[in-house]
Amino acid sequence: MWLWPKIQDELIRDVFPNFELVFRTKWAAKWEGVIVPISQSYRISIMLNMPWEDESFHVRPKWPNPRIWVTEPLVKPRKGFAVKDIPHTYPTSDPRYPLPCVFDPRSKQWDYDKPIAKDIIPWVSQWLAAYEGWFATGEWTAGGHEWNQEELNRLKARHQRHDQRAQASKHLSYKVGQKIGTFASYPLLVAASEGSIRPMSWQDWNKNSEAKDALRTTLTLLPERRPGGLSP
Amino acid sequence: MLAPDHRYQFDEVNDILIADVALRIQLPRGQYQTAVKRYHSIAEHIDRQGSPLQGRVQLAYPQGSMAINATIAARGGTDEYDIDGVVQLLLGPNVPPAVALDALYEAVRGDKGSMYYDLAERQTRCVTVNYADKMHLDLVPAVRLLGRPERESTLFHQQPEDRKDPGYSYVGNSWGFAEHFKDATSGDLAFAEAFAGRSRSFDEARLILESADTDEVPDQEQPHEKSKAVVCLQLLKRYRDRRYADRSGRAIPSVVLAKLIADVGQVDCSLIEALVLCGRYCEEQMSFAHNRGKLISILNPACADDIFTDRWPSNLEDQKTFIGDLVHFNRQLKRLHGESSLLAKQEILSDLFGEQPAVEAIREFNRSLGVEIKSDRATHDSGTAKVHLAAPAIVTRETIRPAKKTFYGGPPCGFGPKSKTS
Repeated sequence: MWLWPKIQDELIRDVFPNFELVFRTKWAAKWEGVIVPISQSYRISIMLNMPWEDESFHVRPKWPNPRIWVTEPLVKPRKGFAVKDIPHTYPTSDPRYPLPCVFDPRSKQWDYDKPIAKDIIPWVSQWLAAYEGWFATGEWTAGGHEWNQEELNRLKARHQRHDQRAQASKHLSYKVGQKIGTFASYPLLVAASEGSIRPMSWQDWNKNSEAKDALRTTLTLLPERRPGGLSP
Repeated sequence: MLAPDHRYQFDEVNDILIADVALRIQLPRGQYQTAVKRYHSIAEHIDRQGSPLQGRVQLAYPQGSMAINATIAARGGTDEYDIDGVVQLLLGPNVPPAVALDALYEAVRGDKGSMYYDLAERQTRCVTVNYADKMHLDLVPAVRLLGRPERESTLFHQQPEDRKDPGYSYVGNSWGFAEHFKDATSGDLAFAEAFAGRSRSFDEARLILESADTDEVPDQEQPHEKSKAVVCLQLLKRYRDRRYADRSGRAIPSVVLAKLIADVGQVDCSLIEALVLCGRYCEEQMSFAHNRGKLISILNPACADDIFTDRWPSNLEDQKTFIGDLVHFNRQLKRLHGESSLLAKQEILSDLFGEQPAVEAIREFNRSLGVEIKSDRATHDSGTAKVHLAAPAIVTRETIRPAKKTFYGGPPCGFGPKSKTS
């Protein structure tokens, strides 16, 4: 049985009380908190997007899930290397925030029925510990997927497609946002259009506590929705 | 720290790193055994037929670091090291210093063609034998004072380059101090065993080839079993050597550091905490004297006439210099103990103890950590997700054991066109 964001949130708060819920909908949530893998503390964000379907819309997350950002201090490459050379990360459009990939999505090592608190967060801690060792010594000792040439070629092609799409998307999003007055993602636009949440803007994703608190209040007052085939 | 079964566990990153740095400044076991053998050999040589001291060698025993198992690889590398010994001689109570020192020198040196002829060097207070493999054996002549505590002796000081210098005699008891040090600082068997285990593993990993005719070192001379105080002393000596490597003038004698650490005694805490305590205590004691415009005075607790600080510090400037060194040492330890990445810890340890032991200790830590993570054996604290560095003796509700995983994502390091970082 899937662990929906509400349950994931309870489990995370139980094991990691310092973690804060940034926002939560029925199918998505974001948390921020501090972990200390070895001695240095790191602030991380975890974003969960789950598939969702009801009469009016559906959500099909394309990105590997959950997404993890290391926001403070930033993970950096070793001298002479680029951000993309940090082992076991996915590139993003913002080079400050490569996404650590802490499990193999092909093997279903994590799925929506598993607790983030028990697996994802400890795996992030292990990744950060290995990252510290790599940064200090140049040696990644914690294992991971080893790429063969075919995979490397496919990855290179994917990077190129991603770069092209990102450019196009950036341009289109900006034009749409200008017209409608907000730059929120599609699922949130849908939720806003139904009155489930108020229209959101880029300010909601910043660390502005008033906006964050208002959003949290708004989301916890959501009416229960039970789409066919998917039950929270 | 102590596990519930009373074994000492190296389970905290700074404790592990400090211990592993200490391992890397130790004398390798083979060199330790060589030192012991040479020490016994030279004592027999001094008492040989035809020696000027034939029949006059009453006793030969280690002193200084060798006596308390605190010898380190000196002068920045692992290939040079100093061993100290006392040769107790049957000489008259008022023997002139030059006579005692010269007699020992001639006895060690032997006739032309002797293996020690070109190795021996007459110093102000001892005779040094400089072996080709960079071991330096300092032999101090001593005349036992009758009616005084065990091994309390007359020692000698005379400048070899000034034959007109009459020199002087002084009283000392290095054996008594060694016994005092051991009494004050031993007793932590759990730590001694844990450190010895770590040390043996390190030696095995280094694949040191033991010489075929090496005898087993007697139990009381096992090089690996050390108290926290001995390890702290070794680390402070190493730090001192690095600070004074490019300075002229005399450094603080090891025996002064040893006395201060003996005052701290046996402490029930981790190794890193013990080192912090020792560093702070040394700074406090020296600053206490300095702030009153005085030079610190450290006496041998086993012999009130034996002044450890008779040659250092010679003035307040000497003292101030080392106080500054201790302030820096303590500040760096505070940074190490605080929140810092592995790279920051490597830089701190390199600054304090040298790049080679620091880099190797970090590399080894990274490898051990990687093995635990890769094998999915790693467990974590709840609340912080801290990775357990030793298998917890008891798994509690607060211990998180995640499922198996394989790090994925991203290309291997260096894939694709490189761009320089800012």
